[in-house]
Amino acid sequence: MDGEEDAKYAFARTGGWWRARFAHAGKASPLAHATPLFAAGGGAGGTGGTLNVAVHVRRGDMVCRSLVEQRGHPDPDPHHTLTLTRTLTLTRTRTRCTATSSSSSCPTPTTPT
Amino acid sequence: MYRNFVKQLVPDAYYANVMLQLLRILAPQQPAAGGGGGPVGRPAVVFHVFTELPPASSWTGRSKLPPLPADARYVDEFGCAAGLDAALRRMLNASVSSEARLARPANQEAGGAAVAWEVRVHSRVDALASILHMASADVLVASDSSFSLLAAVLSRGLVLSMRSWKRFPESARRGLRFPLTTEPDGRFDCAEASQMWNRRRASTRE
Repeated sequence: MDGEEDAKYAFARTGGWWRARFAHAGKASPLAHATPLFAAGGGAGGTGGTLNVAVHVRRGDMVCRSLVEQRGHPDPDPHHTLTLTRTLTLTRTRTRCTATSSSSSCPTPTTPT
Repeated sequence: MYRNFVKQLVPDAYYANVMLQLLRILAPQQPAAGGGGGPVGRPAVVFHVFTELPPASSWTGRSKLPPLPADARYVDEFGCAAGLDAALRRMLNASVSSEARLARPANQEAGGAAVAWEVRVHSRVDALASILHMASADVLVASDSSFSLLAAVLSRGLVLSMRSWKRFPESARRGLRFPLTTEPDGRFDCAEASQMWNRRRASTRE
């Protein structure tokens, strides 16, 4: 990674300072720092005996860009070609993928088994 | 540029693997489901999945993807309606109930430990609220995104990020409190994670 790219994320080095400010702001105005999603049905911030694990899954329009724009890529590698072909075939015939078929390109089932 | 999108669209299997490993580490820290010490009926570990659904229409006015079912709240890397809880449940080889019997790693004693877990998908949460929750969580499984990095910097919990992700260069990791590196298949060093988790618990008690 070159220096310019590295500098783009250099703010992370000052993480300690930001965390201190974040904690201070949380004490100053606890309402603004409320985490109702953690409190609902479980502990709040781990204090109620529940461990909260946040998982950020980047999807949204990334999916669209990936599917639509890569389809026209001049030299896609075989994995992507196969994946896209399967996916497009699948999505043409079904609006909801299932993992019942061994040829399904979706790695996870849609409904709990 | 386009290939980069594919690399960034991390498969569901990665997240499910990370969640499985986390359950193995966090389960001993929590009271057994239905057992003494914890409130019965409450999950011991809750996975809050912050994600978004693909837009229903593009600038052309047409949707780029087939319409999703009305009750879809999560899509996999191909844009298909999916469920991470189903993937995790399948991996745990457990029953439909949220109480899972965890298989111990091969190098530990045989048998299992019961732990209650739950996956909650939040796909329509305000951006600021999402960052607040992600930064306040005990553990953050980050994606390759500046959005994640922001929450990771503010987080006082464990932060898991995949090796060689563009937005988590070495310099960025140095600023995180408890950074953990995961392999592309979702595995990570459990010993290091446990050590970090204990350090984190000690620091929160102070």
